[in-house]
Amino acid sequence: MRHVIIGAGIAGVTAAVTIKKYDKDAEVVLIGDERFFPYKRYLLTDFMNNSVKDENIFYTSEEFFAEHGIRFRKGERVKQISSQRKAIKFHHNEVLSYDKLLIATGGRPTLGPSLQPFQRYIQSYYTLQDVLLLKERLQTADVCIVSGEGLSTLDLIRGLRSLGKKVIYIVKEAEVNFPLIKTEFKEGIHEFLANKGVEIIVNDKIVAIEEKEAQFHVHTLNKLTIAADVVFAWEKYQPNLNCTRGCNIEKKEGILVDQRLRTSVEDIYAAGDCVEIYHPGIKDYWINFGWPNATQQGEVAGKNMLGMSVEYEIKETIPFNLFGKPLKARWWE
Amino acid sequence: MATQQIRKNQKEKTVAEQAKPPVAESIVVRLAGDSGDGMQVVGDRFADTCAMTGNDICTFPDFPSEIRAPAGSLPGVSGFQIHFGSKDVLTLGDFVDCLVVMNPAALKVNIHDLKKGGLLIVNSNSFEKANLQKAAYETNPLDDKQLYKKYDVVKINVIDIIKEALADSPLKTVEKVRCKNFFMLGLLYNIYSKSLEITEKWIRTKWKNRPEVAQANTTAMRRGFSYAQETGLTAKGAIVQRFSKGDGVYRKVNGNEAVALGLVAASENSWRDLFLGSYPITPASPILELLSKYKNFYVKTVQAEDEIAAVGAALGASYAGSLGVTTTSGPGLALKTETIGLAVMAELPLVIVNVQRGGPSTGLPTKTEQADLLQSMFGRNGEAPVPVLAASSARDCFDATIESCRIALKFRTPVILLTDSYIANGSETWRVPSPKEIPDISVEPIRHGEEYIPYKRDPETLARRLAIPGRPGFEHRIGGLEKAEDGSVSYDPLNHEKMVNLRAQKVENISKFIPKVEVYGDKKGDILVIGWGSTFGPIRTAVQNVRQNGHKIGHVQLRYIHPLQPGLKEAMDNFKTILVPEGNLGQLAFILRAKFLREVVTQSKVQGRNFIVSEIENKINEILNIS
Repeated sequence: MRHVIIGAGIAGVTAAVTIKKYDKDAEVVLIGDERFFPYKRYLLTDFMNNSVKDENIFYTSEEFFAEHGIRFRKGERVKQISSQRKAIKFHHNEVLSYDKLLIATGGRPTLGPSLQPFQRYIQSYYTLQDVLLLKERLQTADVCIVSGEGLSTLDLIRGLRSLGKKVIYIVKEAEVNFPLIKTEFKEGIHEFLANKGVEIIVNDKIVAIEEKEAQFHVHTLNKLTIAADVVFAWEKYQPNLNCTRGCNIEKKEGILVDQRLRTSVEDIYAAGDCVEIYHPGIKDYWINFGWPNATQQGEVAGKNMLGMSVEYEIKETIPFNLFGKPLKARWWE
Repeated sequence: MATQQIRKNQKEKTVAEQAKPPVAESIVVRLAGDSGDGMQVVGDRFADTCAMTGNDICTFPDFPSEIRAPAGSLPGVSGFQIHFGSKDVLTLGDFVDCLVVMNPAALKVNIHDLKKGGLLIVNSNSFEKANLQKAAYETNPLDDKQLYKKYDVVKINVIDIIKEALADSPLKTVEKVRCKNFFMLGLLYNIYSKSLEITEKWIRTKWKNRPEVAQANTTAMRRGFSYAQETGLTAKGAIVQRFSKGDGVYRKVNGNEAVALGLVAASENSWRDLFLGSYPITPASPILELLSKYKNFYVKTVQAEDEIAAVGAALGASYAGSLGVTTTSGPGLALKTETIGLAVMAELPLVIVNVQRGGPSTGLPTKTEQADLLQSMFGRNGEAPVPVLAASSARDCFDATIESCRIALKFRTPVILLTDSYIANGSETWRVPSPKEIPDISVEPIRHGEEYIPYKRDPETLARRLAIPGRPGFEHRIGGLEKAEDGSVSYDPLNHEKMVNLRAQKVENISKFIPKVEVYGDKKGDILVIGWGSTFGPIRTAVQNVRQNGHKIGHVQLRYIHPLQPGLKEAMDNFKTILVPEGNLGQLAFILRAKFLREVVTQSKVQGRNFIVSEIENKINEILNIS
């Protein structure tokens, strides 16, 4: 039986390893669109500020996949899924059939329509490739503008400050707009960041960026113009569903799956940041981001692809550490 | 009137019933004017309304090749003909029941196609001295009493009526006058009992950014409708009832649209992205324009810098795993010759759609002809056989396109699909097939770890296996130089002979995978009429007419010209005479003679026009010795 897994993040890798663990004869094809072996994405900021060595960021290698009997297809992108044909099509037009398919394409920060015209001026910060390029740029950069919400933003700010960069944080709301529980923060997060040397501009947003004299001039809604060496910005973190275009899999923000991570289409499963999982408690679907959640989902999906019957237990929070202080975030009220 | 079934029992009807126009089985209308008069626009609208109200239709726009010929001149005349009926409409109609002319030149060019006693509607405002001179009239033809004896002439001062109807419009006078085509359309809608609703909706969408223009055209059309009512023109018309073709979704489609849709369907059902490399050329350009709107179906279109680049890109895309297609017309096909030879040698799928036009060279860009058959068959260096198919009508273009793609993919060969200007521009009613009715034409992909020898062949089809270049384990070489089975260049004389024979045999073998020839009408008898392409409608109608007189006539319309469909020789052997009407000097006849060593009678027509039914009927009768 051929198990094809699209996406070589932690959910995909865990599913591949799980399948091989329980069925040594299974054929497992894992497809990743990055040109690296799968790495620990949560360490990217530490990798950026040089507190993690190159070799420690990778948890897989050629030997890893050989040892597990997984065929890893590195740097290849899937553009189409045909549930009728039970096959996928790569960007280079190759067609590969499957018996069971797992979509684990993750999510990524996206720009809203107002920022898209300025995409070429905005430094993306999501993949290892992004961080490798960024490390070069930061050697000569002093001032960084960061615009966006969420834990990844806070993590980036932490990394930039630890490198001694001046950080200007432009944010739409006066308070963080995602729910936080069980924090050790006595003051608000913005105040905490300000105490760490971050310049915060609230109730504002970037409306235009222009390149001028080797710098980027950021114009805001409140008519401020700020010069910076690097600009980071994103609107929201979204499931990556590109390869499902034209496929009849049910989806909203993410691919809709039940607690066994089955999609609406037979023999297709989905796990990780690209899914919305049915939550029996609220009788609705639920996005469960984060590395630990994706790991567990990968295992559940892998087992179910082998015919077992395992349900995923929804986690309501994502644990996080900001400048040494713990907080937990959750994605619902 | 093409109506043999007009009700004769008027006397038995009530007064109200008598006021209604008679019922006709089918009607032929032609609108003609200067190429700036908007005849194509309103002709197309009339056809749309007929199709959407349940008539079967066949249309043909006839326009000059110059973008803007001198206004009012004879070469600048543009026409649009529509044949609509409550029966299966297969032809454009030999003669016209109702002719609408906007100027003297249009009258001169078109009057000979109007039936005796037919309805002639004239925009008499334009029959003034300057226009008469441009049309080479020495006297005003509207003063000729013979005209009124031959035809039912209705003169209307359209410009005067339009100006009055649009007195309150904010448009400039010149813009108001442009609405005269919609006045004529409204007139026709009344005469043939059609509703204005569908066109009014279209006008609102078309000119949504210029509501004043939309309003003026609507007003002009309504004024035409009411004018016909007021002046009793309604009684000169006829009602053509709905044609029941069975359940389904119907739409109007022309040949180019059907080719474009067929390519999208073939792409979906082969699960290969469609790549169209094309260079604009009349009459094939609309296929490129249409396909550029289908990006959401993974369709890629490239308008290349010339014909050679277009086919080269298509072949490259095919090598990289797409469904590679190029569209062109005769002069373009000549330029693509070398690359088609490369596709033969490399044994890669490629579909070449040739929308034929009058030739040679630039020829008659906007007129139809079928004279590229031998070019398609033989126009390459070396032994380079290529399957050749021909679509027989606008709606057949859809199926013929999918079939061409199937053959190209299954046998890894270039395929030439022939259509022509007549079916490319002519529209018909088409039942849109459901996806389940469209065959799956996908090819089994090569599997990881499979041994790959580039020119190793399937024993049944003789087709080689395809592997997308660049994949680990499938590295290989193809190209224009002769190859050995493993893909290495080979100058070995015996290998060359073997490969030449294999390529030829592969194409010949296709005849085992295509349907047997079907004979319409009598299976044995006096004459078998064999046609290909757009001659289908006129031949079929002519054969139907002659068979009604008790003669034993059969008809075969060939979709597959190379290789020929199985069963053709046996079918021919059952008839005393073989007649081949074609829009060239006898190219299919040449092939049939060579292939079957059998004499065939050629009927040629190379006037930039398709056959009319009576021409073929007369030829059949001539062979039968019937005067």
